[in-house]
Amino acid sequence: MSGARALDAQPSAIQTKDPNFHIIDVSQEFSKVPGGRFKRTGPFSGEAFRVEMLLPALKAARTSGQRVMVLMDGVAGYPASFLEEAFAGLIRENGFSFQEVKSLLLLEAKAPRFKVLKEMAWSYMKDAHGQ
Amino acid sequence: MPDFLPALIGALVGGSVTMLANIGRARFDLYQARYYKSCDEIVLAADKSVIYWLLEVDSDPSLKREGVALENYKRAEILEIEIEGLQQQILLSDEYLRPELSRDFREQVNSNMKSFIDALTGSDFKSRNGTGQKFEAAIVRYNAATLIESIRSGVHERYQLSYVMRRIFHQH
Repeated sequence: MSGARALDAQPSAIQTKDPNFHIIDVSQEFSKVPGGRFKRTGPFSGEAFRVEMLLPALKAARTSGQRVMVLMDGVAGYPASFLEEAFAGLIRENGFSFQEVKSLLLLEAKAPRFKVLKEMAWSYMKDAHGQ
Repeated sequence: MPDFLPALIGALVGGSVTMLANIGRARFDLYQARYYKSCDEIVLAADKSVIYWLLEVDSDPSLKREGVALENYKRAEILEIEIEGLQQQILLSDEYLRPELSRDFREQVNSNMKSFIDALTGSDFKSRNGTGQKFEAAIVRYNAATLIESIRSGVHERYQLSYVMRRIFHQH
């Protein structure tokens, strides 16, 4: 109960439509059923999400001073392969540094089951940075 | 003092203690049921995942390879849906179980949960191509066992008297 209240009490860029954030709602703008790792092996892949949604938003954020907020809730689930390719791929494939991604990107997950996946996405980015 | 008062007080105290004991017992039973359900889900997901990783799959159905390969492609697709569903169930069960664990075990379960999910749906999940991957299958089994063990230890610790006392005296 108190946990739910604490979540509600968080300042939300989503509710206020904060102009400092470019919001990507995965379930609304990409897919409710994210796919696997690569574009060539199926739809709604991590690679497609990175190339078509994340990358343009992050490149624009570099110049506009906005941050990119990815809303992770509302989907059937995220395969770890999707998360790894979508987020760690930014560092591995697209030349972003971990620090830069950290300053530009915000992952938002309200449901606890997505919070675990959010943590995983960050740890994949950290691992890609270390490699 | 009326004669019936001691008997009435005794009955009230006895009733209250019984009620509290029943509430505690019911809570324990509910928690334990969730724990067993969670373990079942983890084992089931691991079983399906092992089959999935060991399948020889050609992920390009346009090749229309006859026989085993195409059949395995369809089988892999079904397994992917099942495994993803189980992953969500496991994470939902985790929502209920984790807050009840002590802080040490919460962190341990969190870490093991991530490793398990990574083994379950990481690598080239949903992009399978080629021969069976024995290593991935073994890693899933290993991580499932480790996760169950850490949850079991956390649940076990929760019902130790020392843990209950720590919670009562806020030394937890």
